[in-house]
Amino acid sequence: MIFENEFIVFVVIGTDHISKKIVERADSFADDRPRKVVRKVIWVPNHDLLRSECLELLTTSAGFQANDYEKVLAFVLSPRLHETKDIIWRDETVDDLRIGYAYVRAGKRERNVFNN
Amino acid sequence: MYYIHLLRRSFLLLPVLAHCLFLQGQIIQLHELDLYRKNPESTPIASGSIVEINATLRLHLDKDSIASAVRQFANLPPIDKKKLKDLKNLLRSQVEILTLLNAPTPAEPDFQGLGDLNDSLSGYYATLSDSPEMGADYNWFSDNYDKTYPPTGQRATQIEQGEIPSRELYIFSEFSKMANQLVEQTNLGLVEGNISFLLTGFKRTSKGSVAIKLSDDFDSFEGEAYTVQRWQTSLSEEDKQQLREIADLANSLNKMLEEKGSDLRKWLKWNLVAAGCLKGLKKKLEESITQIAPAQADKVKKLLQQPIQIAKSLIEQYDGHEQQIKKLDNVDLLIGFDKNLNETIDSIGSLLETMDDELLKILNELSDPVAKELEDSYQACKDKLEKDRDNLLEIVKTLKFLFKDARDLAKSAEIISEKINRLPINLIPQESFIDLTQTGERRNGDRIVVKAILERTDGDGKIRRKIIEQIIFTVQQIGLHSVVKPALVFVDPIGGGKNVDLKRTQFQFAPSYSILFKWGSRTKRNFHDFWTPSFGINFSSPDFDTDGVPEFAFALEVPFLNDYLTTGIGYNVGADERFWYFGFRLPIGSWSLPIFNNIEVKN
Repeated sequence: MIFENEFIVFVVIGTDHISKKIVERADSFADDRPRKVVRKVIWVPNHDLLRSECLELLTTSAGFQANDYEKVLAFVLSPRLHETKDIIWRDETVDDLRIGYAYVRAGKRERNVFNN
Repeated sequence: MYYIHLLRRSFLLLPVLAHCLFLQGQIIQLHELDLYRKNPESTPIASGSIVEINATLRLHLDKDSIASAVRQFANLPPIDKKKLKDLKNLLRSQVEILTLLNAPTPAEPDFQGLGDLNDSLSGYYATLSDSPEMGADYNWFSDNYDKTYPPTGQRATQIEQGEIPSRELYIFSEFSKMANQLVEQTNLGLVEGNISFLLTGFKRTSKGSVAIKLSDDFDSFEGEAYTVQRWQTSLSEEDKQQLREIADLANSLNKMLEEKGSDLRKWLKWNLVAAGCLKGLKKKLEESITQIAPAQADKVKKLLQQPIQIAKSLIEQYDGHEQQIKKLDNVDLLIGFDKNLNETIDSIGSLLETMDDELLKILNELSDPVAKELEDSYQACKDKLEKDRDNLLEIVKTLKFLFKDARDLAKSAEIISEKINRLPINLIPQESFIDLTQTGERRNGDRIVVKAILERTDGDGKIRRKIIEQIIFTVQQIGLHSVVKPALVFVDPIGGGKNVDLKRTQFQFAPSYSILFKWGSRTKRNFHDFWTPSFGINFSSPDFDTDGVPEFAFALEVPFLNDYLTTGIGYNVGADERFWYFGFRLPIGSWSLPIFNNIEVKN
């Protein structure tokens, strides 16, 4: 779903209460499609499932260390280069503003590899 | 939840209230300029100070403290500096986001536009994230959004079709409303000037209290007080600076709205692309009634009635828009135009629905060349109609969910802008000078009272006053000065010379006048009130030879105890004899000499 499409993707890892809540809120935010760019939410039940795929995506974020993977609660991918633009850590307070900000960060201008 | 939200916001106001209630600074600062130096140093004057009676005083008024006192006196809502900052940031974000508003939104995903928008929005989000209060407001609005427009699964479509605002637009709109409320509160704070600031001066003497002239800057005399004009005083310099920036942003927002509104008008004028083909379609529909398969005439005629009517109505609407758009010369009219556009969107929807769902099926079944022509004509127009509908939808969304609130906010903020341009606190002089020689007759030991007073006229017409600060100080001749005083002296010749016809133990009394030279102290009150030491020359007329003709004598003397006692050593010129004496001051006939630091009275 990620690489075949040009969506902003919000990936949430975990099945605890906070993760569920974030999935719910991120999904609710996905009804907004500014400039007609679609938002999607992917829920990964735990850090073991899709580990290598998630790590591959997360390493596109500058400064991310693979050792910190267990601390990742969610991350957001840009629509065209599918790079991680924001990581939400387990020790963060996550509210609507944080989720909205994550979507906005993911939607920022991407590296200039496209004609438009 | 709501109450917790309110409670939290109330608590956040506490520091502001505390600041307003307790941290008002010193309003009046007085300094005495030294009379006797070329580059006078100034001495601070506090209540209880002793000040040179002929000095010039420098008066400094702290406008921030005046503003703070005015706010308390007028029961004005406090200017919440943080809120002002938030308001400024909100306005800035609105301007930035409106800058990126391009009509219409493309039909396909616009990554470049999204990037531009989000680059700008990230500043807005950073501002929200930095402000716990605004962050909480965002969450509150976001929560309300879900309650108002529950996520039913249809919400994305409803947003797409402009039936409901997107979350971002909703929150943005709520922030606009909040900013509007802040503007209104701030406006309340910029009270129309029924508060006056008065600086009055009084002289307290043993005979009572009289008003005195303080300075040319405070020279209008009203009753017993010299007052300044009735200034509207409520803002500190910092508040004013913030408000100026807000006013600038409000103006930018207004300009931006006008500019973008103009873009929308131009777009509306040139890009309603289906206008041309609609007439052709209507003509085809009307011709079809008589030309399509006579056997089906009744059925077709019935089916064609509705699209013909809609097409007719649409043509009128398009023509109407063309005329009306020319008259939409301001954003307000444009905002009000969204209803007309909505009507057109509905009509286009109805026409497409009627044609697609019913008529085209029948036409296809007829296999009639006229029906084919009609279908071709419709298909040629359909894309254009759909494009117009989508674009109009975007414009309506923009007008309904973004422009209206932004316009309301900009309008309110304009009022602030006007008020700031006539801020009256500027008129209060920051610094002035009080020349004590201009304050009329004065004596050593008189007290001068300088009062800062606020005055307001209440609804019942009564004038209420409050002394917000006063300084009381004593005036005294500090520098060397001279005075002539009479005294009754008892002279005693030293040595009993040949020209003395007095018994050795006998004092002879004589009338005398003394020219005394005195000075004062800035720090020791008993120096003036009790000891008052001085020195001088005494001129007396004793009769040492007791021939009935007084001689002329002079002496060096040292009075003390407020000049009531005096003593000295002198020389009797007529008798050629030396003497010493003591004496008592007489409570009559003393006057200042016009030498050194005398007290002059200027009218």
